[in-house]
Amino acid sequence: MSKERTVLTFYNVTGKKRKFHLKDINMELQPGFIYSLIGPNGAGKTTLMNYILEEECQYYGDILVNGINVRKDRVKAMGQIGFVSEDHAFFDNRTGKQNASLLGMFYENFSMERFGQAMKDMAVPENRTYKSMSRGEKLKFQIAFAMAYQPCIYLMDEATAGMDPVFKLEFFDMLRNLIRDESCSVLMTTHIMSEVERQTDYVAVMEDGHLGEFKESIEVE
Amino acid sequence: MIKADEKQQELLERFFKEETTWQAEHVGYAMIAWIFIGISIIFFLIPFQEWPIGKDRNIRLIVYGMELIGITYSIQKYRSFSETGKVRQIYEILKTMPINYEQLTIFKLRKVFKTCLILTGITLFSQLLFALTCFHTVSLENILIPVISQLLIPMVYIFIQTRFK
Repeated sequence: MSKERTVLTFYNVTGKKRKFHLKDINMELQPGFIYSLIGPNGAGKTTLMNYILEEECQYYGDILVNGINVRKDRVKAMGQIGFVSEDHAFFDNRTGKQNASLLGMFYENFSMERFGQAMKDMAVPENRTYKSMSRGEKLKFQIAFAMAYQPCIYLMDEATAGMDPVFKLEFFDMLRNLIRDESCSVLMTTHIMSEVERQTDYVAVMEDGHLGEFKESIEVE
Repeated sequence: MIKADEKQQELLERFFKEETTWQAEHVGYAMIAWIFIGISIIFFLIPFQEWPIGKDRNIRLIVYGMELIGITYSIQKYRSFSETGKVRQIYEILKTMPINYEQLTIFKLRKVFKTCLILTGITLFSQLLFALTCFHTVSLENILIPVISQLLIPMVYIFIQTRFK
């Protein structure tokens, strides 16, 4: 095990389901980088994220977020994770600010000032209802929501799917700003090789529940 | 064993208190709950010695069923809400938040417990009062029936419903 600080660690994680499950996943992610998981549909990328986030997922091994075991202290671990995905549910009829005010209370470090500043920086109106936000605005809102409690790892599941090229550049600039102070990292899943090469620091290939080693994106080119 | 985390319980209390836009359908849930509970409790107020329910199992099942439906609706607002014409589960929103499903279960059980305690008190009082005034005697059933039917059965039912989703 590396002695450097790790934001996300998987120790011999294997799923317990008889059907598709992850197989012997090991990884250690350091702060200050953008990591990407690439693989075809059905490879297990989203399943890997679900193993971290979902309470009912059963697996052997351990998952640690900033040194906190997710199974033993889920509340503390979840407070360290920022999740960005189309599947991340919020109250559709409430504004961004109302969602943040209502759901932010579950996070110890949540700050409405930080949330407001992040929304302002990303030019997303706080008083727009979640359902009336565009896809890009929803992603920005989710990032702003996560920034408000300063997680150590941002999990982004297929966040760039369907994104236009102009917004994609803006999006990756946002990610670079997030990790600039090296207090956190980003783990994103994608099946688009070109953005992995140009925009992320490390990439690992996922196939049929198996995870390959993380390599520098330059090497993969 | 399930153990209550008081900090999470307080957060859930605050969360549900501050969410006020569900009021319209919650009034409906509360009305349905109290209609079903109200009808079922009428039978439980009658002293066991004169209970028609004791003689007819079908009536007993219907009354218990109505009571359990009423209890279920009394905590419906902690389970689901309507938005844009669709019914959504609260847990759908909370599952990626720092809150355990176990604590949500405990929260709902505590709410049910309060209601059940009140119902038990009412039926126990009625059972004892009518048994003493009409029959000048109290049997064990006058005490056990309110406790089992108004407290134990609903609590176990809701626990099974919420724990094993």
